[in-house]
Amino acid sequence: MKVLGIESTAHTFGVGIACDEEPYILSNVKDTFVPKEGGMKPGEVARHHSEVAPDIVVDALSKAGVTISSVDGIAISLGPGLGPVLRVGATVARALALKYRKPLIPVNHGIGHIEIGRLTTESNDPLILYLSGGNTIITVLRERRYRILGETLDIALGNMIDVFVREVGLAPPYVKAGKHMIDVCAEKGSELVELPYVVKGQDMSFSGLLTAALRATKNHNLNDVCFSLREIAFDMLIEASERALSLTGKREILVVGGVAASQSLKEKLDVLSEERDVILKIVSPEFAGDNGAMIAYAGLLLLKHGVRINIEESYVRPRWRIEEVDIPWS
Amino acid sequence: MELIAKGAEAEIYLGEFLGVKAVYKRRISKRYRNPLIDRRINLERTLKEAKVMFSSIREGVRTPALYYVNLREYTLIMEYVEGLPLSKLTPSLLLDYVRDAGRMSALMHRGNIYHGDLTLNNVIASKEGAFIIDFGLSGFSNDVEDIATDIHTMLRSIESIFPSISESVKDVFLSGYKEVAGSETEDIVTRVKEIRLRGRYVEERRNKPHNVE
Repeated sequence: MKVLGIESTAHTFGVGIACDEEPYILSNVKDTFVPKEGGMKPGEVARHHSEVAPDIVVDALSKAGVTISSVDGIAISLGPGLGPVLRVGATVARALALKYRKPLIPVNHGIGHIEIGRLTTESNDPLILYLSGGNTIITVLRERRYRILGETLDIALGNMIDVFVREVGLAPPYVKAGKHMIDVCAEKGSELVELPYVVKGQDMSFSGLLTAALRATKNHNLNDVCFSLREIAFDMLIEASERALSLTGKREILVVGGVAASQSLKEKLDVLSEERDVILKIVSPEFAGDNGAMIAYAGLLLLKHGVRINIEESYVRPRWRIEEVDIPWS
Repeated sequence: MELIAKGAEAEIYLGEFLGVKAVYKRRISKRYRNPLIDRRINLERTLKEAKVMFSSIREGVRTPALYYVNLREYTLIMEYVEGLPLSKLTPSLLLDYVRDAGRMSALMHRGNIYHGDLTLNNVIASKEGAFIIDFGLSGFSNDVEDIATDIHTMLRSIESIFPSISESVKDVFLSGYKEVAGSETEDIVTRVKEIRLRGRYVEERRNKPHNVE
């Protein structure tokens, strides 16, 4: 069984092909929109995606050595994400499904991140940290749902860091040579600036930290503020994760999503897993950021359990939470 | 002394204090944490926890009695409460204790105390009733936001630990709460709903129908 998956929730348009036997992922092609200045404007991103979409679909099929008529389904990330951007991917997916008479499979973007992480790291019943630009979620699979044990109460960690580097003039681009600008800046800092540290149970709050850090740049060295912001934000996340570990007794941690690529986060997580004697698994960079392969693979799992959606009902779902999705596999 | 639990931020030992069975709660330094942040947090939390426990007892909340505070070693020495945490109870035993946990939470909130990590794990089912423990993230506040956050973390822990019976368990907790807090419960529950809707990607936050374009 083979599924073509389309990712189109935020800055990345990606197409991947997954199959139900080794090597599971046959291709994974993507193109990421990088703004010249500021953040993501949904209209600009949508235009970018509609321009690159046809070539990426063709490229993903040819890299996989698969014809469109031989795939068994078209998977589409219907949410969560930016409405105008979601609609580009959804339109492409609906057109392919109609023209080639394939079932359309609705995939939650976060479930895609989690499932590709579980597949590629061969993880076993982990505590999952889902960390991306828009999400900071601590979750476990229990009784057919990803149950959320902790999350941000306001903005996501990734978003907070992106906004900070943008506001102080370090970005865009947010990542240079595989390194986030916050890390480039923080490596030159060493002095800890007093900033709010807010953990409530397993939940975290980052908006006060962002405001205080922006204010602190007026009378502190920027490198020191970058360093302190990163230290405090990651320490908060690791403390919340440690609480979730102790609550659930899980023996493995799996990190998925774009922030999984952070080296400094990995160093702290290494110490945590050593201290608590748990196994740490981090999704590889290829599958950390948004990509089509993760949608294809989650779509494949769903299709095997009979999940599909009629074209007329395939609305985009900008605020679709992972805990709303029934997970028939374990 | 015998190590009886290793929580996320402290080690709990069972020992004796002046000849009485006692619990030693020692905050541990985290190697992953920046040392300055670590010291600041451990000191602040030990001190705060002692103050809050004392006030909580005064409000009539079943709270372990505090025997001694050692700030140099970030250690609190307190009464040993025998019993299982509510998260480990069988559903048949659970409900009475959950109702009592609701009453205790409301008493605590009436004293302007928020717990900061109110979950089934932090309520002990003892012979006398529900004991609230682990005030490590607690504080003083009369802001409905802090109080509602406690209720929110409790309701979510019920959902994640007892998903199949969570609706009835949550109702029992809230009815126990209401026995003490009375009509104020409504405001708090309203705020809990708001907190939930504030989370990222909450479907109900936008009730307009989805567009297809």
